[in-house]
Amino acid sequence: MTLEQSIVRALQGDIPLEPAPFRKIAAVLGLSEEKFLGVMDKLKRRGVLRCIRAIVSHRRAGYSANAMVAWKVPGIRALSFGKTASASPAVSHCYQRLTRPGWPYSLYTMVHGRSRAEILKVVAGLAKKTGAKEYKVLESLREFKKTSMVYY
Amino acid sequence: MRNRRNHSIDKLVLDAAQKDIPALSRPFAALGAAIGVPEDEVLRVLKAYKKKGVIRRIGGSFETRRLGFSSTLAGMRVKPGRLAAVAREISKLPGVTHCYERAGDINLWFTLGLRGPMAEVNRKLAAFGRLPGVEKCYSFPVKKMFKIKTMFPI
Repeated sequence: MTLEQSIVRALQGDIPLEPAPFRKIAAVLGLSEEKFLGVMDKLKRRGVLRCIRAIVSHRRAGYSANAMVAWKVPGIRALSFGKTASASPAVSHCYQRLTRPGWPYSLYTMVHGRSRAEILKVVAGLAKKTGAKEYKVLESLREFKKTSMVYY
Repeated sequence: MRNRRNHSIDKLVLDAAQKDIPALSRPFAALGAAIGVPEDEVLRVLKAYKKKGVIRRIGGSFETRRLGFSSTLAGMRVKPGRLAAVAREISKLPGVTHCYERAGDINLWFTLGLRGPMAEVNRKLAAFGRLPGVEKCYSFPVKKMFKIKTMFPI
């Protein structure tokens, strides 16, 4: 395993919540803190590492309902739709994806709320703001798996 | 009053921590300096959210493609009687990180990421598509990602 790979492996889990977390992780790998921070910086500049951040559990944060909403949006309106949808505090993710024959929906938003009614209200608001009239609200009925990706 | 002040500090810290924890020797001190909160207070707030399970993980967020991975969102139509069995089989694969039953004609949705080219993902997906009970199997790879937003406890 290369140095970069072992650093990705160390960062795909949790960093310790203490004043100098990277010094501690570096020590476990037998590296100096400077060396570790240097590789992290390189990974960031190359766009491999987006950032170090806290990932919030929507359910535990009080958002008991969620829906993936698939929107039919013409290509030229995708960018403005994405910007409008991303500005909504109830939307956690927004992606443009390929369409398929029989499935013309190209924009996807994850919408979170306390209830189904709250989600439908957010969706109606988004439809009004963006002018997108055709969409499917794909409510989650059962969660089979939710984890973070393990790379190495 | 004191409670309200604490609550707004908690939100401030959680907001900043969801955006970017600096890759510095004292990341929490640096994060706190930008929002006027001392390092020990930042750590206290994050530990409390972690303990409550509001924070699932604090670590690296990676650009999967730059690590040589290809990924997609898959949508399937599965016979209702077979849905749970198919979902459990698919969820065994480590590259499947999210798997949900959802309302609608396409009733099983999951993300699939694997090291290698998209052809690997398509091959694996085709195998999943042959599981008994699967009637349709689509792949919806990303064309463009818009900003991932931060969330707050309600």
